[in-house]
Amino acid sequence: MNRTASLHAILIVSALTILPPILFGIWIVIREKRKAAALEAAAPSFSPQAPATPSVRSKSGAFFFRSFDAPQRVYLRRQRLVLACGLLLTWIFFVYFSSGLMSQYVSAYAGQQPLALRVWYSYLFHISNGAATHGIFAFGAAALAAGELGPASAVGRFRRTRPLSRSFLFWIRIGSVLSALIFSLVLAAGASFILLLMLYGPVWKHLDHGAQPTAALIANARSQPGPTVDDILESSRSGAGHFTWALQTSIPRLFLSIITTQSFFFTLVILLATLPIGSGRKKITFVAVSVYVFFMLYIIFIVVGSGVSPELARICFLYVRPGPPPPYIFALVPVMGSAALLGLASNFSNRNDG
Amino acid sequence: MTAFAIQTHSLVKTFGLGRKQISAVDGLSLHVPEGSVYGLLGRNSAGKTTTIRMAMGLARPTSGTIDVFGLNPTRDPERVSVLRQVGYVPEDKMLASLSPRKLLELNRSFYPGTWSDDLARKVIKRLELPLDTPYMKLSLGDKTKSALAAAIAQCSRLLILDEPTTGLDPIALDELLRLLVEDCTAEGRTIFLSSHQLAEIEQIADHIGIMDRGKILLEGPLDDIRANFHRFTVTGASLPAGGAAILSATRDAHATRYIIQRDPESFSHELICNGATILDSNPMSLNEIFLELCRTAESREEVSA
Repeated sequence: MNRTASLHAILIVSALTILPPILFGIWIVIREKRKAAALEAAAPSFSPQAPATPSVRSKSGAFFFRSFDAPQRVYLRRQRLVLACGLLLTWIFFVYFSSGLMSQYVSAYAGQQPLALRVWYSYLFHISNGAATHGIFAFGAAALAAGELGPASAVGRFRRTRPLSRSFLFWIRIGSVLSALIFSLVLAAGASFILLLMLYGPVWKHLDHGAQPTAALIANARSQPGPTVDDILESSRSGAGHFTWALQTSIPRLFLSIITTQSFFFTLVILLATLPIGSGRKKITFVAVSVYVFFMLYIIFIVVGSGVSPELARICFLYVRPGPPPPYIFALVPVMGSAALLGLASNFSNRNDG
Repeated sequence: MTAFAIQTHSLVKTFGLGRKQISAVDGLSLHVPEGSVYGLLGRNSAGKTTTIRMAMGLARPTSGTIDVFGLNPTRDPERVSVLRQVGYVPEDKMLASLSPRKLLELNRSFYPGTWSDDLARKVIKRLELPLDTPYMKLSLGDKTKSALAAAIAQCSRLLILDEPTTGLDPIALDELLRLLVEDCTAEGRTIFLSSHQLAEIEQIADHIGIMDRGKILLEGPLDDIRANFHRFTVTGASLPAGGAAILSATRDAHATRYIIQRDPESFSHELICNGATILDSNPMSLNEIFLELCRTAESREEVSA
């Protein structure tokens, strides 16, 4: 890779990583200043401009909102706050997914192999290897959703004493935050893929350039004493294993695995938060400890267990490193698991009024 | 036949299990007539807030029933119908953590059919509510005012206020009581408020319920209660030791003091017929009635334990 391309990659990835929070901060400051100015100018009396019934401006909005009554529309509109969290998550996931495109990571893999292979492998490795990190954000999103579900918090109590059914409150809240989580993963994946194209082009089309040196290494291993074929495939210096794994990796299934796994984590926290066990601090401690234990077990499994029991990882649709993908059908396992957890959580939430 | 805004039958609510079980509400039977200003009085931990939480669908009864306008507030979709007709100020006054203006605007959009901007403005003005102070900077009194303004301007059929005077200064308190009487009892609307501040309740309530340890000790129209409760200081040879009308009788060296809870005129007539001398006879204030009922209930419980 020449120095200019490397510098471009560093600059673009750094800019995309740093600029959004700076711009967001500037926007917040301007917004607050405008608000303060508007408050100073406003009459001290209560004279709301908007009609009491939430209006629907667009045709698509009218279609969407027509089956909801006024309080339900108000609650749906309040979910716009989730959009901001979704944007933040998109940026975080994007930074994480794109980190493999940084030139120092690309250079870290198999110097003997061509650039296209190194870029592709680095990209896949950083996406798949972040399973644990993504989990933290799924837990955070679940905490955001769960905080408003019960009557313990001021916001939760306010919602629960408005004319809205418990199941409506549960499914809209969970649905909006879970959708934001999934969409942020999808958007971040798409954006990182576009960045890959912008920086290096369609590298996956040029992986055959790596076939020749890999074949030569394997042929050499077979004909001469020394390292075996397995040794060569496992060696990060040779890049033969990287080549093989990069060829075997299915990028749609890699992203699908991240989505299904994170959705499962999300629903697990929601279930824990709605279990009818204690209240207040006791409940928070119970959920935090349970999540911590589960998360540690998960990390141990993906670090050690998935190598020891690859079949279990496949069945759970856990795809945590480049290589042969699990079949699509196994995606149903975490999806069904998440649906079951949500069903239970909904049941508990409906009965969880103390 | 009287229609009731809130009605409970043998309502029980327990928390915890086994030895740690606590009965917050213990066989409560309450009748809040529609169109009344009903004051639920009780000491701390009497079960007032738990009863209100059950009426709002925030807690489920362990046993017994609670109806609000004949609907079950613990079960959807009846609960939603109940909440359409109820304005609520919780005990801790924590509602949505918003500035008063934002809270009012948000609440307004939840009740487009009944909300009154004029009434909202009136409450804001009378209670001197700072509209744009951030929630975190609001004093307890201002949080109370904010929650009250949001609930009152809803113009609901039933207004449930849990300790609505917390943090209010005497002027704001006076304004609130006047607002409740002038603007919240029109068109047959009901106010149900809990408090242990008896003087305030006495000013506006027409019905009273006195609760202690999860049970109702006394319930009825305030005027009837005032008319029925009487204190007699009596001397004589053959004085009655007990009876349905006598709440308590205390003897000392010189006289016997009776607290009568029913038909004081008959009791006085009976005393005179028995040759007793009535040294003193006074009606009782609500505060005195409350104290006497709580003390009697406590001593009876100690005896039975």
